[in-house]
Amino acid sequence: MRIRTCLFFFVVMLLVVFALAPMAMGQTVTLNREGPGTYNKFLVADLGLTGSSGKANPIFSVRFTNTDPGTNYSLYIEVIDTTGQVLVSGTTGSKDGASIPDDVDINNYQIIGYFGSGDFTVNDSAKRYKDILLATGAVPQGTYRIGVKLNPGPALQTVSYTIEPPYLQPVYPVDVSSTRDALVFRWVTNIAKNGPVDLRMFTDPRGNDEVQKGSLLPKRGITESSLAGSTVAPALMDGQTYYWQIWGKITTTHGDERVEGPLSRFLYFQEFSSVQYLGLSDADKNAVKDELIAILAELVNKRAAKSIKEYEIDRIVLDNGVVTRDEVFAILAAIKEKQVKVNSIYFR
Amino acid sequence: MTTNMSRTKYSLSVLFAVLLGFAMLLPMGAFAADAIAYIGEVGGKVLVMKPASGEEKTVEEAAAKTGMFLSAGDTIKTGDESYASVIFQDDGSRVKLGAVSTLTINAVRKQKQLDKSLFMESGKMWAKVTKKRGTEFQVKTPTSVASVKGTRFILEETESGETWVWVLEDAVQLSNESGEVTVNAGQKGKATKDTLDVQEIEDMDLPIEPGPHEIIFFFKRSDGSSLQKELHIEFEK
Repeated sequence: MRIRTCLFFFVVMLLVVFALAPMAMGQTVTLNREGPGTYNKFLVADLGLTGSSGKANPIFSVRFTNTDPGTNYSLYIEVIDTTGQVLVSGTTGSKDGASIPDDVDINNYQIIGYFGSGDFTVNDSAKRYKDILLATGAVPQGTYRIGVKLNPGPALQTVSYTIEPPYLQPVYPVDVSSTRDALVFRWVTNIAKNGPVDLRMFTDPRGNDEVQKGSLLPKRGITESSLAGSTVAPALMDGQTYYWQIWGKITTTHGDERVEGPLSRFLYFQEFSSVQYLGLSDADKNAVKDELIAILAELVNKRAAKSIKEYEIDRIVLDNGVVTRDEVFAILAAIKEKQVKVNSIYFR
Repeated sequence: MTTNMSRTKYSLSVLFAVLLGFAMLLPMGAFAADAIAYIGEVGGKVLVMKPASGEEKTVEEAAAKTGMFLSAGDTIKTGDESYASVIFQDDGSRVKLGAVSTLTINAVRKQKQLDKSLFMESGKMWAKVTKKRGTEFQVKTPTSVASVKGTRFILEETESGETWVWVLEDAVQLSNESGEVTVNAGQKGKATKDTLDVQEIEDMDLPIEPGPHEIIFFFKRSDGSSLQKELHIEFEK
């Protein structure tokens, strides 16, 4: 009796083992990151999921094993930020397990061609990204994960990516006066080491009027992160305000792209003795702000006036040059008293 | 023989043409060499009066245009609601005349620099003088002399014969028959034929330069964050 009972349980166990065996040896998905993992600029289109990219940008790859013939499989893919918010998600078309070969790497840009086009959307929940994504297609700065899940199949797998927008940050001179002898342009950047970059000079804060003087300016092909001011000084005028900018080039997943640093202002003097400062005290700056709040409230609206309440005056420029305390107050009074015609008021 | 004569005629013709060309270019060269300044901005009705050559004391009058060259002795006269700026060629010093003003420019060349002497008969001027060692910049009025060493200032010669000087940067020496005073930045000086006075500029007591301007206020957040804001106001006097 005992032997019979043991045999029965043995047979049952064998049946259970054989029944479960296919499940234990079921389909697997291996997700691998391709490429550097850090990008200056990363477009959602680079993933190739919309089928419109048409570029062979290897971002990640998937590899399948043991997919079941007769079962239709699809691939769910999502882009997630560090807080777990899903930016982009969707599911591909489906494919019979019989036609999914084992141990073959399929790159991201091949997935749609392989499984058939699906439905990928920018998620409504990703409100703080949605406008940027829809407008530019570029994923904002940050660390992201790309998640992939085979349906039916094992749990979601992820790989990480870092997006670091390029910067060309001016260091000196920024909002200072500088003499010919002290003038050295310095900047820092995360674009390709040793550039080359261009240094450009403008006489207006919007960067419209460029100083173009033969080989002096613009200075092209700089392979250092600084430039001696003496090399451009002959093109500069004493006592003039200038705005300088660094231009560079980055290689992105969708080709080369020009990058521009911000415009930085400095006041150029040939000799130290001629350096001038604005000379507004803190009390003056508060008084100027109060006057501006009153002007904005009257000439624009209360909302515009309120928008500067949390700010403080940093500096003031008149006609791209130095302005004195007396001039500032005289101009504000003239505007308030309508002794001058105001053509436009706007924020930047 | 005939060939030699033809060659001689040809050579003479070429020589004549070359001499004629030089003769035609001479006035232009002489004019360019005489120029000490040029007209910058112009708004409204502005006339430039040049002393005519010859013995008769006449003047040639022309409407001022941007880029027009000015020579020593030229007078610039602005009409109602008009303005014009004069830029000196040697160092870029600039003088802007307000409405109903009359200014005569003179200068003595000192190597590459100019010792400038202006006569402000009436009206207002806004001056931005470039600092240069060893050169002079003087503005004479019917009652006084303002000597400048590199600065920004405003000068007005009133109908009643008073000279007012508002100094924005550095200093101006104001003198008349009674003596001399220094007018520093933030002060205004007054000169009549026999009096001199200096006082502080009060808020709003500063004439606004004519023409279009842009003033930009750069803001930063009070909490020290990197957020910045710019307020641009474009206005016109």
